[in-house]
Amino acid sequence: MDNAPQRTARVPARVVVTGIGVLSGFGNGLAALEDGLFSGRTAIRRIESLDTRALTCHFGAELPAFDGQALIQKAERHAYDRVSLMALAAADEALAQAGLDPAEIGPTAGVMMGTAFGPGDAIQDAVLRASENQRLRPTTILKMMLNGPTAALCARYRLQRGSQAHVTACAASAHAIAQAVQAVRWGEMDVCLAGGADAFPTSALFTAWDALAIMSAATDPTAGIMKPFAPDRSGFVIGEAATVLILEREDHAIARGATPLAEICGAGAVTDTPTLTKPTLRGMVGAMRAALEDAGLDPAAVGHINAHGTATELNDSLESDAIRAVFGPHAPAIRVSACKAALGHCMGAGSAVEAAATILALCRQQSPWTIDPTAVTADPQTGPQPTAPYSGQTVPMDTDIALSNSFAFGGHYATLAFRVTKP
Amino acid sequence: MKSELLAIMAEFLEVDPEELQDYKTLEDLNIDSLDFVEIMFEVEEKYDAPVIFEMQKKRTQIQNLGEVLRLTEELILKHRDQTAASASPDARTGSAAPADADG
Repeated sequence: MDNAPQRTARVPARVVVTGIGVLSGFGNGLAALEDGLFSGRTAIRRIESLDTRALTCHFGAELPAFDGQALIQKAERHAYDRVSLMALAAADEALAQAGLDPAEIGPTAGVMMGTAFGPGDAIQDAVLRASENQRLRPTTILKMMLNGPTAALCARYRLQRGSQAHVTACAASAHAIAQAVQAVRWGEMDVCLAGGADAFPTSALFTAWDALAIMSAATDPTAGIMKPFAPDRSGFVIGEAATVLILEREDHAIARGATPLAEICGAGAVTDTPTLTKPTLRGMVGAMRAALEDAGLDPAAVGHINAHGTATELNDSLESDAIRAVFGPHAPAIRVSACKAALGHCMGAGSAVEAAATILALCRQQSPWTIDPTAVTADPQTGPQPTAPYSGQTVPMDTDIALSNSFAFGGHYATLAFRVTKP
Repeated sequence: MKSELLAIMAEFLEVDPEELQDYKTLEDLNIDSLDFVEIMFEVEEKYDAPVIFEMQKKRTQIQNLGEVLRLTEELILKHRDQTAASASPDARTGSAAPADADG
């Protein structure tokens, strides 16, 4: 069968989301994310999978229960890392919600998945075994591939259109979704499975993060472990997540009787890398403006932003200033959500799970974990503003347009724009 | 030994050993190249005998499961003979060929 890409669209199509699958610290499934996020709870708990006694950070948002072994045959288990199994579970859920038959989508569907660290368990296990002169299984190399989640979805659904693995750190799944939007918009495929997955770090990876001294050392949940945009914020903690969105052309979805949950109406990505780690105002402003331009939106149309909000000193100050720079006098009217306070920083899966949160927020007309971004600023002339005690406040909103920001080490900045048709 | 080899394959493939009949091809049993090398890895682990390299070389010429079992058993027995020979008094004095002399 001919599976060559057919970039036939002369007019860009509207790209809609018809299904979402999520695994997060709140549990397996989109419903668990929605229940947790909009009830103001946090999935951040004391870490169970690692011994952190010698480290600074002790909290994270691990999946409470996940055993993906049943998703694959026993013969395949040596080739699939946990992160790939998480992606499979999320994709199965997303396809079911979209009403698409997994056995039928292959010829006209592709996949774009992001991950920051990919199959960390497999890589650490192989390194340890090799260092002790132990044998490695013949298929070890397959389990170590950074494109594991993407390849797992390709194999499961026999996808025949384009497939790419994005590894741009904490913006990886935003880039994956942006690429998927382009592919569907211009007719390269009817359906694209797009999102990201990152398993909870291994001991080596977690220790490396800990050494960077930007993770929260807080241990009192009642005072808040991770507090984006709070003047007393003290860094992030890591979350574990996989999220897959089913993207398809609006006419394709409508023709088969599916109900679009939201449109992804724009995607913008820019680069600004004066250093590998230092965030920049130019990058943040550039990404948001690029997404607005791609969507053909006036800034005043935006009523909700899912902030990157890492609870680090400079990120939050600059993101706050960037929102003011892009939206000017309209900025105070925007409901800004900082979901990482509830989900942790889900690394390469963060943009995808926050895309799901953004769509839920628009569908519910509620902003979860709402913060006041004006409480912080990088401008020394202004200084931090007084703010209310930190909590996971869900507030009503009235808008059909939202943005979701993702910024990453390496100077990668990406923003996605979403639209819903309000009832 | 054949029943033990069948048991290894059956466990790996999650099938009843009775389904693994000699006349069936690897394709019949849905054993792809990666499954094949993993099964041979399990055999090596159990018998502590090198079979992966030789069996991989022969894989594309193998007609059916019976041939897989026969060739694998031959390699294991050959390795045992070589190991025994290298452990004999002659071997200890250096007069016997190294166990891997014929590759």
